[in-house]
Amino acid sequence: MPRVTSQIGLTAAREIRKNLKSTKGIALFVLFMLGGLGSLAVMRGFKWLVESATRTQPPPEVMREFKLNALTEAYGATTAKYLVDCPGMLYTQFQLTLFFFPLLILLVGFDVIAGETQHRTFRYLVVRAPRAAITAGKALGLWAATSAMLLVLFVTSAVAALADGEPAGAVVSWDLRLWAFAAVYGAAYVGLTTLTSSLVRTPIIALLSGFGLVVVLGIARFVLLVAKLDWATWIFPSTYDKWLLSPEPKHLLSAIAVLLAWGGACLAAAVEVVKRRDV
Amino acid sequence: MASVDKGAAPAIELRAVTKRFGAQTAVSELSMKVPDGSIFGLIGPNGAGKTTTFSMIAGYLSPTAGDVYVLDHRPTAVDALRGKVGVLPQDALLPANDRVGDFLTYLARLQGIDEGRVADEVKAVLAEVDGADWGPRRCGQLSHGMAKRVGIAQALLGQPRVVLLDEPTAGLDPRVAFEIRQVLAKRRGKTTLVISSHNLQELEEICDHAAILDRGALVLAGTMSELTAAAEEVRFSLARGPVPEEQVRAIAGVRAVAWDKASRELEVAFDKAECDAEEMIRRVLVVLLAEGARISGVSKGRGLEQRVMELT
Repeated sequence: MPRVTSQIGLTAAREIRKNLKSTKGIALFVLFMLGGLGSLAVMRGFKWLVESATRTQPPPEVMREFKLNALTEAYGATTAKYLVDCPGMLYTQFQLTLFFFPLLILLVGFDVIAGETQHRTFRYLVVRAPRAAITAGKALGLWAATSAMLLVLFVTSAVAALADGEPAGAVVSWDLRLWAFAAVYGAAYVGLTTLTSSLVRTPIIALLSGFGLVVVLGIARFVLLVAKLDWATWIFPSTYDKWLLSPEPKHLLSAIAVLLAWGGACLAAAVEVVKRRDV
Repeated sequence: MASVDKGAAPAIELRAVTKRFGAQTAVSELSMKVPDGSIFGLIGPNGAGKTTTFSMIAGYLSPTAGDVYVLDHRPTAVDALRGKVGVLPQDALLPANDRVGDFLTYLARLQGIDEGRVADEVKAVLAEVDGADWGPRRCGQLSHGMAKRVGIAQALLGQPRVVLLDEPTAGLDPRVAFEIRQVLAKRRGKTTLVISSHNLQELEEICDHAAILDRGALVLAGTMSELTAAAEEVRFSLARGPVPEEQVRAIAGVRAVAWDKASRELEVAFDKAECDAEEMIRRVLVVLLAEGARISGVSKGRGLEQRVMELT
């Protein structure tokens, strides 16, 4: 294996262990799971309320029609027909993930570079491996650790969907797909978090800056949408959630490419920052 | 004892190196060579530029101007220097949540030590710093002295050719500091060591070359004998009794004699072309004993501490 690849792998493996075993990582994972399971519980509770109020379970074809109409309103007819077979719990979990996953990545990874810079632990590493390899390894480890946390949530959601009577084939197929799409979506924010962490010297500033940046990106996109400047929103990673759910390969692959490119560009910028800075 | 090959290329070379932080110049036009296989001291008061110079040699900082070479490579040529340079930075913390063994293993793998040798290498360096059973401990639970020793251990991983140590014995108890000095001294001739320290007595004991810095500039560099004038001066501590200054002045090869009444030291400067320090000591002792002087101590040179006080 080429030297730099093994150095990236070693650093990524260390980052994964650090994030999955640290008190911070475990606490955030538990909160993330509670949030995810809480939303499932709310959905189940809502369904029970409807059934209690109507004293009957609506016929499946009525529910499907209702779902198709709602999805058509949001995505258009083609994607709606594709998504109508996705278990409701998994779809809702995916939508919530798109909102909360970037925050999880930020909270787990805000000190990915800034923590090493603040305590100068970088000095032990930079005499042994190129700074680019260390930075890339840390970003890769952050992505892998947070995607693993996400997988646990999606597996739990799948179990909940099966318990709710959803067909097993649809649950497994959609669960894996949605997890993979969410992980790819997260890549953009892993890059952004790594870049933010590389630009500042203290973790708390990295956390506040990262949070501020996510909020600013969200507000900017909202303003552009309200102003009917939809074409300008294509620079934001959050615009591509609809394409991730599209049955058309060109939209799906474009979304994956853009999100990975976004994350890659942010990571490349982070690498340049780390290479040039005095440690 | 292995000696330094004076004809060999220097292990480290700085050519007109300058480092500025904004308007402040930390190091100015510094040129010096560290002989291969030597134990080299970086000496100077606070603010002299020692740590900045050290950091540039290690590749942590880039010079504003000038060139730094380590084993004929720029310090940032990590691929070329991997495994050949070990560094103990002064103010770098160990990662608190990592276990000592895991962290050293990661560093050993990162620098390319063969997988089959990693465990043995980690055990060996920990044993060298008297920390053989520290592997399972978390770095955040180590005392200052233990953390310093782990820092030294990681600098020695893989038997590097050049080892840079910033304040290696600061904060260590005397016994451990002594043992660390023995560990470093054992490497003379095989490894080039650069030690930045405020402990001048320690540097005088183990270094064979040194550079004295002050306010970012080089004041003096050379062998320890040259810096302390050990090849040109000898001193005799005399108890109460006769002080035969004139008779000593008359000895062949003596250039100057000075009697310091306060410290009761007789300082004898001599021509090193005429004889070496040991021969001059013999000649002076013969005279002193003949004149009935009561000798309580003999030393060569001026003492590094005194020399640094004079020059900075």
